[in-house]
Amino acid sequence: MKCVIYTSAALVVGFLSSLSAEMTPDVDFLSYTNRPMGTMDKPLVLRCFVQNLGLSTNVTARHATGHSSPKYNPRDGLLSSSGSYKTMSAIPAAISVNLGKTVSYVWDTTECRLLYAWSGGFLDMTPHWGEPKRGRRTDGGYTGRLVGQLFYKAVGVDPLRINGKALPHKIRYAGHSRVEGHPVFRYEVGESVISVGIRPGPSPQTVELSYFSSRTSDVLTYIDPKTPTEVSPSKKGRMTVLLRPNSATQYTGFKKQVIKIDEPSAEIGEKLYTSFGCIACHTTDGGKNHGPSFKGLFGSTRDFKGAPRLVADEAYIRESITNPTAKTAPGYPEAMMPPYQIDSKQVDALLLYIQSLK
Amino acid sequence: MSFIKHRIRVLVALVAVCLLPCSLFADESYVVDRVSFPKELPPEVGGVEFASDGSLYVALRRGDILVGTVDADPNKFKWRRFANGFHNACGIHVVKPGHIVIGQMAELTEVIDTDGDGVADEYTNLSTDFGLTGNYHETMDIASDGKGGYYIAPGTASHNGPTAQTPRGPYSKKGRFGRNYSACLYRGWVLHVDKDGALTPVSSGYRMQNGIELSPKGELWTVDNQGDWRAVSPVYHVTQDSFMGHPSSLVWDERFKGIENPLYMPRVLLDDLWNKPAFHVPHSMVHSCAEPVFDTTGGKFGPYTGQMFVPDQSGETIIRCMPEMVDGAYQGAAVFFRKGKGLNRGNNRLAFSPDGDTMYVGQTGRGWGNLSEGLQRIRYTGEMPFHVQHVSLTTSGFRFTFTKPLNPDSLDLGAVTVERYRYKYSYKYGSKEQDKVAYPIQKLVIDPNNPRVASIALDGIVPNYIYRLDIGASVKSVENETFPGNPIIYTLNRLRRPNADHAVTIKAVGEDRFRVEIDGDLFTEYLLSGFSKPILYPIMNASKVGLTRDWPITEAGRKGESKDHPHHKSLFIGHEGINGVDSWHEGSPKCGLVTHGRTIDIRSGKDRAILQTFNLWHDPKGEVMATDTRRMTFGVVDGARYIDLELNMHASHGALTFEEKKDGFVGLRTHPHLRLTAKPKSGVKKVFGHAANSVGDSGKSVWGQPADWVHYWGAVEGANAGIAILSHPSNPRSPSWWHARDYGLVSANPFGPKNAKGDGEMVLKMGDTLTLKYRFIFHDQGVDVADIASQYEGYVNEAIVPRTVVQPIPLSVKNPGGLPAAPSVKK
Repeated sequence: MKCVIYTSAALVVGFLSSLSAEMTPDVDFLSYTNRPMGTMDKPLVLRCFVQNLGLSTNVTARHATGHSSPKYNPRDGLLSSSGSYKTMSAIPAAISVNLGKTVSYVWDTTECRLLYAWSGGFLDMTPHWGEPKRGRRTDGGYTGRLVGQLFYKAVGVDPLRINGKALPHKIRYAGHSRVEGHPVFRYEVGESVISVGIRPGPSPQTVELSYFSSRTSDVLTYIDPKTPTEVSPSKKGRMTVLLRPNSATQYTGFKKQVIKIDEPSAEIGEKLYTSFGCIACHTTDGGKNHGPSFKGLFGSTRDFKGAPRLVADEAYIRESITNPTAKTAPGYPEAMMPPYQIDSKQVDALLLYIQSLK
Repeated sequence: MSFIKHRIRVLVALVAVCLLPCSLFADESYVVDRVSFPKELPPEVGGVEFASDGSLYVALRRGDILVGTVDADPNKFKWRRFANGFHNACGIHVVKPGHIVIGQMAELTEVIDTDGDGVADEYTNLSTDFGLTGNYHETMDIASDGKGGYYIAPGTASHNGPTAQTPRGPYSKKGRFGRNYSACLYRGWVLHVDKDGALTPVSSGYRMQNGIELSPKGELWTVDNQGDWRAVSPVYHVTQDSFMGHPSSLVWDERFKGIENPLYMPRVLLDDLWNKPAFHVPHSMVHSCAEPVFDTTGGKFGPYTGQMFVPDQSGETIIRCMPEMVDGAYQGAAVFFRKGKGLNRGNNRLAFSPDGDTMYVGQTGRGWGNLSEGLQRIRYTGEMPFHVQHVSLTTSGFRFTFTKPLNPDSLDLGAVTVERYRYKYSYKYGSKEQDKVAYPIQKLVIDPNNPRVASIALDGIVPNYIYRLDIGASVKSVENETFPGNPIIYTLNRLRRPNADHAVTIKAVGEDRFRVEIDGDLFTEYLLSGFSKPILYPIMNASKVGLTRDWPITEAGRKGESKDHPHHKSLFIGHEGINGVDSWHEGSPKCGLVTHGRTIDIRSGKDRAILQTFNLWHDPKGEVMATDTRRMTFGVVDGARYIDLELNMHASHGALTFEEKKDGFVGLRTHPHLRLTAKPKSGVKKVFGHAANSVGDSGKSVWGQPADWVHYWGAVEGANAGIAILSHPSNPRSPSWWHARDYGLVSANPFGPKNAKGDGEMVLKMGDTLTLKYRFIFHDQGVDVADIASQYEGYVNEAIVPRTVVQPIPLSVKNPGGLPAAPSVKK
């Protein structure tokens, strides 16, 4: 039986409208679906920021260390004396691959190794791609979130040994080939070019790594005391490694914060301001961004492009949330903001929040 | 399926049907339509380029690369997927069908279909030699260099998004400060990756260079977006080692290694380092400039061959830029090419169709604004539009070349309104127009030989301003069309220079010197290396006599040269004590070096040449403790050769204390024949030299006297000659104190000993700049002819080119906003 495959969207196309261009029927493309999936026959390769999942520092030894930094204040253009930016859990330059429900994995181009593998789903791209067909920034992090059960997570220094030696610090990702759609990654280690392919193992929640070196005289070994492994003996620069589970954590993708409103308040409004993504364009401290600041907005006199000046009262703010193209402030692009279809309690809460920003 | 959805689809269908036969949005010259994609495909276009076989490659930001078969009907394109798995693919180059290169967040990637089945199977990493913080903003456009290599433009991160605990480094805490920042290697740079993968940094100082393109002449252009350090959206001609004004990226430049916080750098230093944009595109025209494209269609897309189109990523706009070379750099006029009239928002990438009559516009806005995704086409109908084909700066105003002849009867008064303004260079977001000046309304004067050409002459054109020109409704084409193209925005960084008597040229000779010639004869050379500091040597007057000491630059020296003070090398800059470091003398443990850091500007001109350099002042350990930018202008004035020096000393690495010392600051050592006293031991038995200053002292007594100028003259090698140094009255502590010796050292020193009429110590706060201006005159005249007093008057009365308005950072605020404290004076 076929899993949910992202070609389904293409199949719908022909039916939908003669206005849509044709896509060769057996060719796949990413759709508005935020949880795209591949299959064993048609692996889905996706590059995006992915979660770090608390990998130990010797797994990420070739990465730098990010630091918290004083917050920037858009109002005065200086760094804020209160608060700092925290770093997020993310691996920036990895390649994610989905082989259907059986196996997904993340192979990293900086460490040149498999970072983790899971089953039962792939990635929830909502933080990066936004709400389907709206594309709004939903989460500043932009990391794809795991869906499914993590069964393998890299532990310790890279278990690969070449002629008995651990990999040097300096290695280089060289690229990858697609063999029947499956990536075979290549990286340069000294004089050798190591290739590795990753396939599901014979039993659930296992993966098999097939290594081979460009130098057939290389003896490859694999030493991972923390993971149950079955390693085939190295022969002419080749080796296969079966990885059994060393981990079991359930991930459910990206959960938008649900904010329950009994009684609308400015505090709830502040949470909505973040969760709806208002924060991406409107500052609360008078600073300039893609849209006007909320600070001092309520009760102030506003100018508009092609509409008479008015005082920003309740009616105006409600209109601006639900029908944002009705009036545009000078100096800002028209039709920048999408209409927000949100319930009246949410609007009330946002209104209270905006009122509080004197 | 909901009723509403159905209705929307019907509406879309109706609009699209209208589009089909004769575009709904047609104007007479250009029609716009929208290319369809499969319904469920998000057409977020990060890149678009045609292959040699006419197929259209489209990079989508979710990671798919499509190939389209182009059709006259925008709904009949046939799409297939060529490759996938790219992270925010925002740069594409099609090498040939089945072989492309993609710029993605983390990598420059070559993608090849090796087995010819139409689907790529080899993905090769061409370069990952730049960092990635994990911030959403760090997209990367690319441009082919035409030789198998690529220019890449890794963008900065935004404070609106986080950075990873585990970024791909190296990582810099200093680079992380501010609104848009460069926390990881080479963010905010333009780099070159050659065909073998070797990476060379090209240019720094970008905020978000979302668009890079090689012109048909092989020149590199980029754009940037309004924001911090960006008054409006600029368009840049990129040259090697240029800096574009946003300081965060400088943390990846070795020359700025010791700087505590790039946002704290002296404003004057940043402004001097900044290679000004060829176009400042006002916010009213473009919000976010994206990838430019040059019109290479040879007229098939209309009358704008060779010009540049720049799309607006957040507006319904494409502008047209008309670069022209003025005094050694590009600048020019920008006008709307298309605003609305069927053009959507999100205009990100442009490409001309192989037949040239159609421009493809790739659109995306996801992550930055409302969705505005898709692919549109703009087709030239062949109907000549009425517009300005070109606008050119003249020595007295502007010349407009129209696409059609003007109606000569239409040009009554009120033809062109003109105003000028400028922007603030600020760490804050954007800038309003500053210092606006309206000119009287200008009459257009038609060229009697060409009815398509008309000019205006302005009273007083000032450089470093932006000129807004609006052509009035009274101006009509011969077909009585009103001009539709206002405003015309001309970025006037440099004036068009009038013809002059002397050709003054400067050129690099090898890697270690610049040679200045006047009418083909050597004037001087600026020597970058080989000594403790850069010097000017030799310095010849118009009679080809070198007026400064040869020794020790030449080992033998001239006959009669006294071999004292080996640090007095021709013309030099240094001081005995800055923060305890001696950069005047050489060889002692207290001595530091001054090294050439960068050539900022080199310009040959009709009557003058300019060299502007950036220099690093090192302590004895080699650490940089201060920097300077110096601008040297070489030319002829009133029959004498001159060098103007504008020296900006920057407290860039901490506060600077210029100690009270007699040995400083800008000096020269004369030819021995200009000595005031004999030195028989060295073979100078007879004295030819005389000296005088602006306050009536003469001979040896000019030493230590405050004066506006000092003049040494006499018979040098048997002919009249002399040297004068003029100190500009705007210098602090004017009139200057002079360390002017009988043996031929002549030096202007603002920090001379107080007990000898000097001005003593000066402290320059971190972030501040000390500006000193001097004119050096080298003549071959008798003292009766060489009238230094009137030369001085001429020098003082010369018009000063207005500097950029820079916004100082409020360092006086106690620990401003948690910034790390400014470093104290280094001991």
